[in-house]
Amino acid sequence: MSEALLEVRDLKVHFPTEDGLVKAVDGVSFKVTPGETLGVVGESGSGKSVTFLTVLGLIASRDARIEGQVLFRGQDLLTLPTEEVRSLRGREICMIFQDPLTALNPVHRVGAQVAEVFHAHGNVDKKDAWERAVGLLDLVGIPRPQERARQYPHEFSGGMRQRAMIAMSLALNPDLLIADEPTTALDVTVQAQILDLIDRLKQEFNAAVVIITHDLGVVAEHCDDIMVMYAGKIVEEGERDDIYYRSHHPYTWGLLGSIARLDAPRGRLRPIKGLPPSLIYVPPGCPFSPRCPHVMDVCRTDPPELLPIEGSHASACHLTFAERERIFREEVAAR
Amino acid sequence: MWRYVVRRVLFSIPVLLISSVLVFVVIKATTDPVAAVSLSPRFRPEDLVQLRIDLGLDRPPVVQYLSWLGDFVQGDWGNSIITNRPVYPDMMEALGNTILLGLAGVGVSLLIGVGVGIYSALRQYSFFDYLATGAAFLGLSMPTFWFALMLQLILGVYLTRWFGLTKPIFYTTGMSTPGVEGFDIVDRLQHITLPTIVLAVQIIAVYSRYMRASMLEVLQSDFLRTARAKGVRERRVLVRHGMRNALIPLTTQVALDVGSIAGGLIITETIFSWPGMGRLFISAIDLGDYTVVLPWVMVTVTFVILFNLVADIMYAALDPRIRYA
Amino acid sequence: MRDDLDEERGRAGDLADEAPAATGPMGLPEVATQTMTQRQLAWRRFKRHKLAIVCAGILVVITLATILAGVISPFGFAQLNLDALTQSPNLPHLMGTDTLGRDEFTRVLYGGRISLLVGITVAVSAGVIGTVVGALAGYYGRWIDNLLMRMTDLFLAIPFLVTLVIASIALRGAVPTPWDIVIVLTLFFWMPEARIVRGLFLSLKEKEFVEAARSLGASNRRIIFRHILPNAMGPIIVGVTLAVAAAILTESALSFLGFGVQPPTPTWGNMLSEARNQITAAPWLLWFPGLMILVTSLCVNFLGDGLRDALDPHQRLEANV
Repeated sequence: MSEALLEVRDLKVHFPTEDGLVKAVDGVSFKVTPGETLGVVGESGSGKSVTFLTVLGLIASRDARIEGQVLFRGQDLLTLPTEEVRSLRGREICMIFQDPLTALNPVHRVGAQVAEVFHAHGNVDKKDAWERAVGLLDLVGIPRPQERARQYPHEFSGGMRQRAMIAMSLALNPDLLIADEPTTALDVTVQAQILDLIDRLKQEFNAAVVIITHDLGVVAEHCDDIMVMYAGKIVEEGERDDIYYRSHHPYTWGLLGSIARLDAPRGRLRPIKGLPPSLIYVPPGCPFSPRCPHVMDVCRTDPPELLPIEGSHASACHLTFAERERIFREEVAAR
Repeated sequence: MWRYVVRRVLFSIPVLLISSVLVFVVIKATTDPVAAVSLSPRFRPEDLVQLRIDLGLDRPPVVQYLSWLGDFVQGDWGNSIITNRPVYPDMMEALGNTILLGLAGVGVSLLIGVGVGIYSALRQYSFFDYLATGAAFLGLSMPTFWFALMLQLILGVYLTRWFGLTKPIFYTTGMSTPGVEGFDIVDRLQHITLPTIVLAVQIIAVYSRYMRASMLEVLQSDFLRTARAKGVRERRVLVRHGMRNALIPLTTQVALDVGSIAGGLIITETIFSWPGMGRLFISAIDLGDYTVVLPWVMVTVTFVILFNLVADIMYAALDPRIRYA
Repeated sequence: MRDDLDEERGRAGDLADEAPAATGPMGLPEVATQTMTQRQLAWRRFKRHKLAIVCAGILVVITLATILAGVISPFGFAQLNLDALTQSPNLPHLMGTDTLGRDEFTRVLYGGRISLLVGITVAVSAGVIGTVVGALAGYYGRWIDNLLMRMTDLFLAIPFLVTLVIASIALRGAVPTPWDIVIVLTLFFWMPEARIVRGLFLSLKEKEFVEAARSLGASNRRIIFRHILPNAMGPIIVGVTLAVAAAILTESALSFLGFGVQPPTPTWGNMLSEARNQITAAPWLLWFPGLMILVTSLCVNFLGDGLRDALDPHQRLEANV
């Protein structure tokens, strides 16, 4: 069992707003080990992005209330002085974002933006940094990198921009790469290319990767472990096969069930009933209870704990182990 | 980039021409140069008719226009009906004085306004922000001429009285003290201070709000977050990514403002008796000296169009996305 | 029936503004939610702006005072009180008198009538014209748009005050009445408003609800009036409000220079022009009209700002610092 690279313990991130306290992240704990790819799945508002923005110290709101611990190689980033956290960013932990068009500064050349990573972490020669930036663009598969480096972001296609973002993040050989919805803004064909690129580079650089997404399809091929989030909490986690072939949570079932399949008999798509949860008016008990087709009385009053099932597989549900297995077999796997 | 510049320059030429036609038509239609002197006892009716012919007012409009255009471009702007002095040199001098005052106002406003705006954005909702916002509203709601008069009264007259000085610290009229030989920089500064303050108060109000809004928008942007995620130091993030992007809309605005300087200081110049374009215009209108009005409007319009061009070019220089428009 | 439209707008417009999603059927009876119409939401937002409300109050007081000038003040605005020449503020002359013995307070009240009347009339008429022009330009686009916008561009190239002065001379037969001034000002005030409305219509007409309406067979006229216009009303109202302040300031400037309303009809602008000659002898004549202009514009501007926050919440910018 390798030493955890990143360990988050009971992280809570609450934002006081005019309409109430938004509990974006409400008690999340997990580990990331070196060399693994963790997939974090959940719908918009599940808290998946906020969790990792907090890890990097990128939560901009000054009123945010953050509790818990974020241990990177044993050091709690939440207690570290800002300057030290800044020094880690881009160098040991990197994050790339969803929409590469808005994520790149439109008035600076792409090459300069990649080279900026080097400037931020040490006194580098300008020419040297530029050369290395060009090399990185080449590494991520951008053709004619010298020319391209001199261009501006709006002259790149969506896929190329995302590649440039990846180049930026890998510049200093980080140990942890967090990709927040890296493919959501891209065409389907390009999505696969980008994910393969991330895989390949992960091998080369021996990094740990976290892919945040709402798309189970993305996760299926590229992740070792999966974490399912809902309303700021983790509802199920485990290895990939656990989640796909042995899942133990009604929400996960809903997600799996709502995937359209080419080989299944033609029927209607089955979305999860109900509306996304409010993070202000959080129901007592299980956050999924308003929408759960298997809800019981206890679900509405007692919040379920994340209990282990086998190995790293755990789920937070009041249904008994036997019931869950049965439901999965009969309803989910049968489709 | 250069293709864009050339295209814009070429586009401005027809705009200038059409403007000149419009200006010519409007001025000719609304003003009658002879009307002013027709009341004077010096002129008999026959003289008036001769005057009309001398001024070429009997020719068909198109001919008048073309002849005027030719003269105008060569710098022959005719003579003032009232003083009979050539218009061109006097107007050029007035233009220079106005530009001096205008640039002083804009310059000071930029220095203060940009700083205030950025700081307000960084410390949104702080006491400073509210103070700055309040001051900006005050500046925007202030009637210029009233503020100018108040300044004259308080800093010009009262200040001298209260301190029992023989010479005022701030002068309230003119560009320099009559009788002072040569170019005395201190004297000049004493004269230019009050009118500059009047201009600056208004312009700072606009620029600080503008900069604040622009900076706030940039501060919310994704690329700022990316820069931080790369580990770039905060100061560099705010300058190279924040300010660099936030200043772009303001620079175009500044260029446009400079363009409107030529004709835009009428009130300030009138109150401070500043010998510029504004005062020239008002006295021309008051005296009925309409031969001055036509070149005056042409000069101001040309200025505006010229700086519109400058604004567009600056925008393209600062924001590469524009260059392909 | 009106509420129907509001609901429609509410849905077509900003969904994020509706109450939290956890409503009845989901089994959370504790939470009190109601879907509010756009108008109610706007009013709720506006009420939070104490400053704007205070300013609205002040404006009401000022307006009433000018209307009731005859009742409030025992003097006429042209009445020469020869026994009270050039007096600084005292009783019964609350704001003093000028060299002709006229009561300043009375003149301020009557002057306010004209200034406010001109300001509001110009802003509203210019708003209407500007909206019509801008809507046509923005909606129909292409050559109408080009033509209208080039025209406004050209006029805006000439310094504003200059345009007004020239127009005022052109129109002035003998002495311009306040109505002449209103016409002159309206003639040029509609242009910035038209710009804004055009921009609004350009972006709004691309939205899906317009496409939906069109596919249901709605005529252009219907789309413009029942669909786009209500969504544009917010910024239009804000624009008109701010234009009132601008119009008051412009009218004063024009009158100050002598090209606006002529004495003896008082407006705050020409009162200041007269006061200028007596600036050292009777400074209070300078204070009061100017202060009135300042306070009125300030209040209108704050009110407009509050309205903007209430009617156009997307405008509110919050930093990620």
